[in-house]
Amino acid sequence: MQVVIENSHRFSSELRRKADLDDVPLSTDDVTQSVADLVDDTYIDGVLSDVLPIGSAEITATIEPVFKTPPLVDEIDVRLRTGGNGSAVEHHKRFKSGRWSRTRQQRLLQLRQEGTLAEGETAFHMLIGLPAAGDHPLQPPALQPPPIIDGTLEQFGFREFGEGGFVPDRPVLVNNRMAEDAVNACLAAGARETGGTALGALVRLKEPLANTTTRIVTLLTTCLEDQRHSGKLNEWSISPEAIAAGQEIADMRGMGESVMTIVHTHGFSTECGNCNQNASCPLAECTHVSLLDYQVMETLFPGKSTLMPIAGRKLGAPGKRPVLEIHAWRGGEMRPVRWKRYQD
Amino acid sequence: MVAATKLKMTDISRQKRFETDLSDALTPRHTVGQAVDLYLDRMRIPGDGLRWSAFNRGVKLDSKATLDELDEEQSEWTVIPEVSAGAKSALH
Repeated sequence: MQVVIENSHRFSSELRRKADLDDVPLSTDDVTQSVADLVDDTYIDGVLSDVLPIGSAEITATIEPVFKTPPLVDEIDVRLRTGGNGSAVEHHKRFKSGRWSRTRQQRLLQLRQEGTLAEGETAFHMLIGLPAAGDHPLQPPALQPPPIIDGTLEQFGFREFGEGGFVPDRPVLVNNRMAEDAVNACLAAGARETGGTALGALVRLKEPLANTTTRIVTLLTTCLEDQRHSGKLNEWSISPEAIAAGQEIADMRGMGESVMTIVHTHGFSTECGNCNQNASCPLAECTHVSLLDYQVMETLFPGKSTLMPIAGRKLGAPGKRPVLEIHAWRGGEMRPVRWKRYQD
Repeated sequence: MVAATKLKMTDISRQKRFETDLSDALTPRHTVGQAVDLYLDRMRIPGDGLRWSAFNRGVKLDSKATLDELDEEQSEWTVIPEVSAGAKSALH
């Protein structure tokens, strides 16, 4: 597929002590290429929401900053166009985040570590967009649709729906047993992190499910635990050998599943049990996607259709059990999405 | 042994797929590790200083092996990094 990017700006991510442009920046990073990577986010969003056709020969992407006040950028608008001669399709999304957001967090940590910024001292982030002088070619991301199976939920063992709901343009179904296993594994491991390899599939149904707008459903079918993964407080090390073995198991099951993602936990204290009620609990919530988690999403699972299920505490959630939160790429970052259980 | 003449590389979720002949950017004298580097570059996947491995049918390939040591059946790889998830937000 040929991808043409139309962009007339250079973008930089700056950290400053004050929220104005008069101050000398603490750090400046050219993030123009990170902005171009949002073309991939927009493309996958268009494919999964059943708007963009798969197999287009050419896509033209237009990147435009939406300014608060020039040169301060509020959002990035990405518009994709495929086809022509009466068959043109457009899809566009706006982004407040992107890879530059993670770069900025890392920069902030660096500034604190080297002492430039004191612990507790605030820094202001600004995304700056300036007209690019002259030719400014951008390397287009590799736009590839994820593997999607035309079929039915029943061929993956689906029997009936359980609790939960759908995001209309990104329906996610999780096997009830897998969801319960993730919560129980989190409880058993306590503050130590644990996890496993999640199998599943992207399935294109004949018709969208009720209350959804796309035929493409993400199905998470089972989680494979493996002793080669190792967990401790705040970190779960993923074994490449165990991940590779997961694919072999998926192939042997013969249902067309593949390794979709990993499930991991952010810890839960079985001693106090009040993790969901205690605002000062030191354990990270399952709603929090850390820089380490993002690194997994951008290296091990670089496709933008990948979900990240995290089990752990969730402030305000009822009861004394961990919660399973499913995160999906939305707006250039991983955000929790509604999901529904199913029984097999 | 029939030597591999092309390579197919993908991530574990089979979303970023790259195929190349061993007469183009890669030649039989390149190593597995160099081929992985090319895959990361073409797919715009950040290397992030991580240790990367190529697997064929669940078996890890020696990153120092040259591509002419591979037979045709070893030409489809899954590229996987050593990486950690978790609540920690340390520098890496």
